[in-house]
Amino acid sequence: MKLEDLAARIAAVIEHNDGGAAFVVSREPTTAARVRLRGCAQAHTHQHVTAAPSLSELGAEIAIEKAKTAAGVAISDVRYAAVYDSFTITLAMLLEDLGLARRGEAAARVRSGYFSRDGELPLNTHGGLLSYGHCGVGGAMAHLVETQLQMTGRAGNRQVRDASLALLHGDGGVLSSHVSMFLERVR
Amino acid sequence: MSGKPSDWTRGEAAILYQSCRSCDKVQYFRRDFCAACGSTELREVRASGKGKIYAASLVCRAATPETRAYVPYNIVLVDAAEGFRMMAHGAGDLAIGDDVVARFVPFAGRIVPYFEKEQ
Repeated sequence: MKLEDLAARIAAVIEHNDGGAAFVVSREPTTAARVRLRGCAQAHTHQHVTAAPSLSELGAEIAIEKAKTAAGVAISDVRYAAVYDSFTITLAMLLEDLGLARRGEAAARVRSGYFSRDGELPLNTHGGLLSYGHCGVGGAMAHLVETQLQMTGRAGNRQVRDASLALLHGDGGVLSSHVSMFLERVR
Repeated sequence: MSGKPSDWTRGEAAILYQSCRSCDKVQYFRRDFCAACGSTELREVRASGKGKIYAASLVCRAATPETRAYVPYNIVLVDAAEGFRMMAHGAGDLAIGDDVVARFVPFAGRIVPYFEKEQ
């Protein structure tokens, strides 16, 4: 196989495009289902990748541990996940760091349908940055917008069975800055 | 030798790093202060160019038109013998853990550090 073909197969990267995302935070309920921020935490270990402590111990692991404690939930409680996916490899690494797949098993879990709309844990149902698009900050916000639509039962033909507890994870810089957030639906 | 030492980022065939006079920590990214203790007492030191490969990534798609003629080329993270980590170019056959030494090669109109296996 030619190197270029190999690269095209293994190294998917986001397409930058125009667009935007928005959400309104309101004290008054706007739908029957409300979304509550259950717990959130962050970790910032470096800026440039040469200053990262270790590429196998990223800030995602620190952020998710703190967030689980703050929210009082376990990963197995999560029913919908929205994980920043700037590159295929970023998503694969984060799925494992967050505990949504065991080390080295993220790809197999994706292929098996585990993260599909009707799978065990629906993930990035709008397509994520890789398929829906990346318009800068709005690209990451689209993960939150989709999560809110899923949690309030307004995701149309993408609607999952039960998005009662969601995990959002954002990553900035070069795997530098990490924020994990648990959202829960309240009625 | 006179004046401040220079390195490959300014066209000279050398790698420089900073060493803190207060806490002895080293850093590759040039700053006005020590990232470990905050001291402004930093020394600019010339590195030996020796190190060990921490990671290697083969670039198969050029990011810019100027680099198209160079693909595929290897981008490596090197743990320098002096204790800092840096990004650089490297030979295509490098693997994690290889002992390497730097020379300097032209790349897209400038010179860059290029690591290859130590003989």
